[in-house]
Parts: sequence; structure tokens; C-alpha cells
Amino acid sequence: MLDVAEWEEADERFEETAWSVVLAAGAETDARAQAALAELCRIYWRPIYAYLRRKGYAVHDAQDLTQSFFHHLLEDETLRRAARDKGRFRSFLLGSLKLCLADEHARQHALKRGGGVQFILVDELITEELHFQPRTSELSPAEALDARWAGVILERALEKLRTEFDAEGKSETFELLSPFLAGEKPNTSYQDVAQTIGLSLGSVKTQIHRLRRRFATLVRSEVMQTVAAPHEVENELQLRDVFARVAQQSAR
Amino acid sequence: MELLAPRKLCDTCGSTLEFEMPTGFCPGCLLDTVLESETQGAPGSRINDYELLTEVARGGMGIVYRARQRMPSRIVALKMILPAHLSSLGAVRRFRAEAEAAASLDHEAILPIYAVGEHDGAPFYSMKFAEGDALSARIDHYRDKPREAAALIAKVSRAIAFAHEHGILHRDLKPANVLFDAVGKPYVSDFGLAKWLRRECDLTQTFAVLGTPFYMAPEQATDSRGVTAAADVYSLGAILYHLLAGRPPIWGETPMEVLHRAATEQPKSPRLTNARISRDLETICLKCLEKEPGARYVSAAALADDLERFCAGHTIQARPAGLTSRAWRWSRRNPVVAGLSATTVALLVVLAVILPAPREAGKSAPAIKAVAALPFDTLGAKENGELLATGLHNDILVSLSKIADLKIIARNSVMQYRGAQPDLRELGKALGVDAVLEGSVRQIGARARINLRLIKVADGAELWADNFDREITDVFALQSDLALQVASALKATVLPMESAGIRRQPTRDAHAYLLYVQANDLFAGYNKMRPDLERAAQLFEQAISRDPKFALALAQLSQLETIFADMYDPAAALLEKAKVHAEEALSLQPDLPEAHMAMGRYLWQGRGHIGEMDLAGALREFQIAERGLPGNAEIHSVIARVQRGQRKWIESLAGLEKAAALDPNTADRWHRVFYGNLALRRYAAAAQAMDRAVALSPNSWLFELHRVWLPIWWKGDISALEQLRAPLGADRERYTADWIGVQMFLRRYDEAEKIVREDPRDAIPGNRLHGAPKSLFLGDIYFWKKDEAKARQYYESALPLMERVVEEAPLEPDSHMALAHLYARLHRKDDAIREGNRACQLLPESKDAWLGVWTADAMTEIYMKVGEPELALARLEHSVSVPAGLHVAALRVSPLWEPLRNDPRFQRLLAAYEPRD
Repeated sequence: MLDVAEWEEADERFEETAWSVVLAAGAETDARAQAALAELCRIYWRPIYAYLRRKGYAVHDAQDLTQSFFHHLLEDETLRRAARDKGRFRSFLLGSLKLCLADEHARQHALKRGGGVQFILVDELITEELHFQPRTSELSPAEALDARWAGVILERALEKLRTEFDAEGKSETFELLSPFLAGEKPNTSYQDVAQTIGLSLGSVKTQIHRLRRRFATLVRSEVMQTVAAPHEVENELQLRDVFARVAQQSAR
Repeated sequence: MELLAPRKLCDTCGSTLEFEMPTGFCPGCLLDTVLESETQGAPGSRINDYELLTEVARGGMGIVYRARQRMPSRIVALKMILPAHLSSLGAVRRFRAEAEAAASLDHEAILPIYAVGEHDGAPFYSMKFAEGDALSARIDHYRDKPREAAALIAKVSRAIAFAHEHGILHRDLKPANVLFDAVGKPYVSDFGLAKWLRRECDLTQTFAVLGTPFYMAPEQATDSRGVTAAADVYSLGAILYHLLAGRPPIWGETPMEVLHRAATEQPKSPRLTNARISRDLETICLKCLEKEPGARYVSAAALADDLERFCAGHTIQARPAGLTSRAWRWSRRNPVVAGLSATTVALLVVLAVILPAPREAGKSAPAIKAVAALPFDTLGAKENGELLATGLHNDILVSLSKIADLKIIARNSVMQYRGAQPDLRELGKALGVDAVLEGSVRQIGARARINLRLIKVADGAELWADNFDREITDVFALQSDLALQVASALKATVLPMESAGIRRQPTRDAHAYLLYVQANDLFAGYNKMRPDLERAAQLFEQAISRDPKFALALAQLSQLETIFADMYDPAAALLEKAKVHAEEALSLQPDLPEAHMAMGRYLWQGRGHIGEMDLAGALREFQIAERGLPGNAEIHSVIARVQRGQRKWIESLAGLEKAAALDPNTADRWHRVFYGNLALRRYAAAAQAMDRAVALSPNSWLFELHRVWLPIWWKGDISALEQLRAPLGADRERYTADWIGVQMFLRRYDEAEKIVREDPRDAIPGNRLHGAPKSLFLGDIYFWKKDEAKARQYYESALPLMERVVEEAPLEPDSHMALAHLYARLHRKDDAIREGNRACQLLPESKDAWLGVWTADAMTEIYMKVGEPELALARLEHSVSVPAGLHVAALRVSPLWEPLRNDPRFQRLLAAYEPRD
């Protein structure tokens, strides 16, 4: 008999909202799979919105299209099946979106009734537009999708990491150590942190190392939820390239 | 990396910073951290020490790769289990332990496991790569070579015997788990691993999801704990059977059906399909497939011995047993399983298979999993105290019913204990629970004090107790904590999704919530009265006007509107509102189970009310709701009622039985179980269910009627019906048509006429008719009294009335059928057949198997009435064989079938479908 604590421990890795659950259901519409798909969509709508904005849709149109696209996707079995191969969730979403955009009638229909559908909270859409969409951009729509996608994954992993520290009453430690997640900081040294926390330099380094490893695990688990098979996690992490590629372009 | 500067590139890694992260991190730098960590930078397809080459197979539970190991360098098969298929982290650990144990098996016909590991939380193991294919791809090869098949299974049996000697059961032997190497040498793979895989699936799902149970021993389905080596012997026999006969011993459309048949049916003799099989080999095969484990070979080694004897041309040791004697023997020793009903077996199957396997590991005393939460007492000043107690009780009940691991008795079955001091032991027995939750609420000014106690019914021991002191406005926010504490005191497994559902607060407006609680209290009872429903609707609306985003209140209001429309509103004006409210609730909270239930109810009951029932759509919605409310009796009941319309009779009955188990004090649940069994012609089980319904509602005339009618359907025995008392009061008004029907069946025509004449109404509502003119009843009475002139007179005066009824409701199949009956009696044969067919077109069996069968049966009877017994006979076989159709014993005594009674074809048909229980 498992105790509750064990389940909670299991929670992060064995989340029900996994793309593999959706795929495992095959062509049959299975309620669990449908719920899993809805949950994934609820997490990953932001990249779709970024894509639409880069595609040139005005704020309101992009908002309506995002709403109705997800609504449509969860409702319409043919659309869902047409775009679903045994691939990644990211490709699936983009594929379905393209199908939807290519269908002029469906798009008009979606725009027309978009106002009535609320899959995503309007507040969240507005916040996304105000704070997360660049005013100007050099990214192609597909690159914008990838970049925002990576952002969502990283944010979720960071949030989980923070929650873990909070749960252990170590919120301050997290504030101090988390800047090192992105590598060494030129203007805050390990030494400074060691002094603030009151630990030896060695143990601060160990803690930072652990923090980085834990973060990496959380990111991988997060990605695992969006792929069909474990080995695809590493492939998916090549999302990294989009940032470098874009940087090269803008340098040119 | 740098906190965001106005520049667009990261100082550290040069990435674009177009998409800010709220935390100010550079996504590129963070991804670098991830990429540097753990994996040693190998791109793509590397897992630990293995380079993945190609994907060999992908199944419901995992993926098999052909992979190259670095140290030692060799080609291996790498099997990864997708984490979604393991129920917990603990399961991963035990899975690994089991795989490691299996890895210790060293036998020439067991596929060696090299290593067991874990990658990103997903367990995997590497094993010898079998270059050939699996037995599942070679099955046809053996059909003409029975001796080769026997030799193969002998080898496999030796391997299994070796594993058994080392204390390891396979548990999932099937052709796909027997692999061949390049030279055709067989290997058994996947020892003991099946039991760690999540079985929390719906058995009605497809094989793709659940896997194939064709080779699973019946006891494995009903009691996965008690499985012994004999289960593997069964599987070996089942594989052998498949090789010889070309199909598995037991076949079915869904896993549920297969398991049910495996428990109840005997496999056909394989020699019927393949004449090349010798009697000895068939004997060996069938001995493995005995239902009773003790009747099979004592061990896999003994099976191997006999197979080897057969191959060598020696006398085998097994002796053939007659098929019937086997079945009889088995049912005698398993009276519970064999006698109850196939559905009960199905239910046991569901329970045994669905329980996540890891729970097997617990060897401690059986956990308490069935609870009744008795209504909470109100102490001190009443005021809002009563409302608080009711609301809190209801909330905790709803929350606990979201936990699939618990059985929580429905509200309707516990409300009768309000303010009572029941004997706990008796209560435990009556409700089938092992613990009760008691509570009290005392209001002191703006604060409330809540006491809760969880008590074991067996010995009255207190399992858990706690006091809480809160502001009244906080009380409802507290309920989720309380529910989770109760679950934890019961050591129930609470899935992350379940606890999220429990924790979600339905509204932040305490006043709106109190209105909702009052409304729900009025709405929740089983037999709802019109004024209660109207008041409840008002209260829901008030709650919603305070908090327009109160999705739960919208969902409940929608359900209420659908029910109201169906019961009291033939014009169905409320239906549009029911639809809009369900949609609003769904768009506010797309995963709210109650919202899906409301939409399902609208599609089923609401749309059904206007003749546009959407069974498939309703079922989809209900099944989503069921995931969120697995312990809710009503959801199981509505799913079951949709399923029977779709010909899923077995599943339907299992659902009805589950609803009754969750809500055992509600007579109507047992009445539905009665219907479910009756449809499948399981008369004994139907009688049991009906007795329970009558015991709970002794004053219901309808229940009494069904109880006494049952012996007629079952045995043609009318003695109980003769004793039936007359309906009284409101029942008299409601069931007049049935009461007349009883008199007619008993040939008490004068009594029937008296009832018709004494009735003050012009038209008498019947079972499926809103109102039939009195003259129609009188016509029938005189028809059977053989007074043709008078009968004709009455029928003729009924005709314009009936024609008008049909004109006014042209989509009502029952009205067309009643008109068809009238035409038949007036010898207007063509008109009768036309009207009857019209009714059948409006409600065909393909649209609704449950109601459609009744219409089809009525049409069969129309052919009798118009003097076409040949045509009726042609349809009769369908009527007596299809579930929910006619009953053979009743046909024998019904006067309608008199003209065919001596026809040998009629007699043969009845004999062929004689009830067996």
C-alpha cells in the first residue's frame, strides 16, 4: 500500500497530462487522453499565440484565433486525427494550426465565433500580449513558436524548483542560488553568496551543482510530457538552436 | 547570462532575448545548463550506455529498440516503459526489483536480461536481441503441423517450469512474448513484468489500450492476488489452442467481454475447426484450459512431460473430460462466480483488474476502503448551523467521491440516518462499508466549530478524529482539507489529478455558496417534487447572479432544467436554457466533471425528450465526468443507461450494479439492476434485485407489480400476479393502465371494465403513451370477451381520437404503434402494418437498442394481430434472443400466441431459448 506522501513525490514525474497518453489512446477517443490533451493545450497555448502574432494577425484576431483553434482542436476529431502522427506534441500543434489556417472557411468561421469561446482566460491573453510578445521581431513565425515554447518549459521547471525550495522553507536560499542556474555570474561571486548564507565556499558550490542538476531533471521531465518516447527528449532539447540561429541572423 | 538589458542579445551566450522570461533569465543559458547536465553531450538517440539504432516495436506500454551497447560491445534489445504506464514512483522501484529478479533466470529458452536501468524517470531493461520474429507473427505456420506446435509449447513449458522453480511467475504469457532467434530457437520474454503495469483502464476500451487478455486464466481476471503457477499453465494451453485452432480459445470484442467469457464459457473443441489435431493433443490442450486451477496440470513441468510423451508417440497421462461435466464441476465448486450472474463476474473482473497492481504488495490487514459519511449533527443554536452542517456534509461527500480508491456511499443512502443513532455493525452490513464518518457542527456567533470522527464499524474503534474552529465564511474552503485528511486517515491512494479536483474552490463568494448549498439540498434527493425543483432553480439562479463565474452552480442548474423539462414540460422550452448553462459551465471550467455531466444529460435526456437523443455524444461527456467523479452513483447509472441503448448490455449491467453498491438504500437503483438483469434474461438475479427494491420501498405498487410479473417471464407462473393488491392513492392514478392490463392478463374482464368505467379521466395514460382513449381499453376488453360487435363499436369510436393523437405528435413511436394495434383490431391490415413500420422507423433498434427492441416486439405482435402468424414467426427468433426482448415462458401463457401454440416451429423456437437459470 502506498502512502500519500509517496504519491506526491511521484507527482512531478508521473503527471497524467502526458502526450504519450494521448498517443497511446490511438484513434479511439478516450476520455483520459482527451483530458490530457486539454491539459497540454492549456499549458502550451502561448507559443501558438506567438506564432499567430508573428504571422501578422492583429492582437484581437490572434486572440480569437488562439481561443477558437484550441476549442476546435479539442472538439473536432477529424482535425485532431489528421494532424496526429506519432510525433512530438509541438509538431502536432503546429501541424493542426496550419491545417486550420489553410482552411479559409474554418478560419473565417473561427474568427466569427471566436468571441464566444473562452478556452484561455482573457486576462492571460492580455498579459501574454503586453509582457511576453516582442514589439519588433526578427524571428520567423516558426522560430517564434519554438522560442516561446522553450520559455514555457523553462518557466514551468523553474516554478516547480521554486516550489520545492519553498516547501522546505528555503525560499531565500533559492533567491540567492537561482541566478547561477544560467551559469556563472560575473558580478556576484560564489564567495559573496557563501558569506550571505554563512556556508563554506565548497558547500555553496555543491549546492549550486545540485540545483543545476535538479533543474535539468525538472526540465527533462517537463519535455518528457510533450514527446512520444523517452529518447525524443534529447532531440527536443535542440530547441536550444533556435536562439543561437536567431542571434546569428540578427548579428548579420 | 545577464538580467535583461535593453539590448536584444544575451551577454553570456549571444542568444536573442526577444522572448523575455518573467524571471529575467536568458532561455538559451538555461537550456545550456540542461544540456550540460547528466547526459554526456551525445546527441539524440543515446540512453545511458546504449546507442539506439531502430525502433523495433511500440505497444501500449512501451517501446522496444534495437540498440548498440558500448561496454561490452553488442547489439541488444532495449525496452523502455513509458512513465505514464506506471502508477507511481514506488511502482518504478518494484518494477526494477522484479526485472532484476527475472534477470537472474538462466535458461536456454528464456530471453536473457542484461541490465535494468532508468532514464529520465522511465525504467528500461536491455536483453538479448532476438533476430527472428515473435510467435504472434508465425501462428499460421503451426496450423497444419500440430506435432511441431506441441514440441514448441513443450520447450516453452520447460522454460516456464524452470522459472517457477525459481519462484517467478510469468503472468502474461502470450504469443507476442515468445521470440525466435536467427536459427529459430524460441525464447520466452517479459517475465513477471506485467503486474507492475498500470491496469487502471476501462475494460470496455479497445485491445490497443489494454492489451490482449485472450490467454489470461479466468482466476487471474477475478483475483490477481491469488494467481499461482496454474495461471501460467492455462496461458500455455491457450497459446497451444491458438496454434492448433487458428484462434484463441475465448474470443470477444472488448477485454471485458473476453474476461467474462473466460470465466463462464467453455472453449470449443479445437478438433471442430482443425481435423488434423489428434484426440490426445486436444486432451492435453483442454486440460490446461480447465476453469478450475486444480484440474489443470499440476505444474508446467507435468505439461511439458505430457507434450513430450505425445511428440514421442507414447501414451499421454491426461484423460479427456466431457465438456459439460467440466463446466458442471467448475460451477459446483465456484457457486458464487458461476451462480450469481455474468455481470457480477464482470464486476469482479473490473475490481480485480482495475485495482493497480502495486497494491498487491501490501501484506498488512485489509485496508478500509468503503465509507459512509453520516449526516452531520447540528449542535446549539440552529440558525445557519443546519445549513452549514448540510453543506459541509454534502461537500465532503462529493470530494471523497472524486477518489477512485474509495467507495463512498451516496448521499441519498445515508440521509435517512440524520439525527439517528444507528447500530454501526448493522449499518456497516446494510451499506457494505467498513467505516463511518460522523460529524457535528456548532455555530457560535460568526464562528463554527466542527468535530469529525472516523470510526471502524467492526469494533467501534476510532480511526481518526479532529476539531476545527473557523469563521463561518471559511468553512467551505476547509472542506477540501477535511476530505483529504479523511482519505489520508483511510490510507487511500489519492491521485494528483484527484487532489487537484478536490482542492479547487467552486466560488470565492461565500454567500453565493450558501445559496448553492440550499439549492443542491433541494435538488439532490432522488424523488424530486416539482415545487422543490422550482425553488432549487431560483436559488441556483440567485447564486449565479452573485457570482456569474460559478461554473458548478451553472452545471447543476443545467441538469435541473433538463430533468424538469423531461418531467413536466412537453414543450421543452427549458431545454435551450439547459444547453446554454451547460455550455457556460464548460467554457468557464472545461474540466469540471459536473459540467460534463450536465452536457451529457442534456444530450441524452434533454434531446431524447424531443426525439433527438445523442447517445454517443452523451456517453462521451458522461465518461469524462466519470473520471472526475469515480465514486458518484448517478454517473455510473446514466452511463449504464446510455450503454444499454448501444447494446453494451454487460457493461451496462455492471454499471447499474456499481451504482446500487454505491447507493444501496435507494430502491430505484435496485429496480434498475432488476431491469438490467431482466434484459439479459437473468431471472434469478433479477428477482434478488427486485426483492431488495421492494424491501426498501414496500409501498411502491410499481415495484410490487414487477416483482409479481417476474415469475411469468421466468416460468410462466401467474400465481403471484393473482395475489397482487390494487394500487392506491396516487399510484392508482398513475398506474391505472397497468392495473387494467393485469386484470386482462388474468382474464378478469368484468373487473377490468369496472376500473375503466370508474376512472374519471377521458384518456388513461399508459406505460409509454401519454393518454389512450377509454374506448380503446373497452374495445380490447370486449375483444377478449369475444363480443365482436361491441368490441368493434368501441374500437371505431376510439379511432378518430387515436388518429388525432398521432396527428398531434407525429414523431411519437408509441402513438403510431397504438394506432397500428387499433387498425389491426379493425381488420385494416395494410394500415396496421404501415403504422407499425412507421413506429419502427422512428425508433429503430440501431438508434436505441433498449427502447427500439420494445417497438420491434410490438411489431412482431402486430403481425399476429393482423393474422400473419408466418410473418410473426419469422421475427420471433430475433425477439426471444435479443436482450430486452420477449420472454419465452410468457409467450407460452400469453393468449396472443394461442394460434401458434401447436405449431412445431413455434415449439422448437421456445425450446431453443428456454431460460437456463
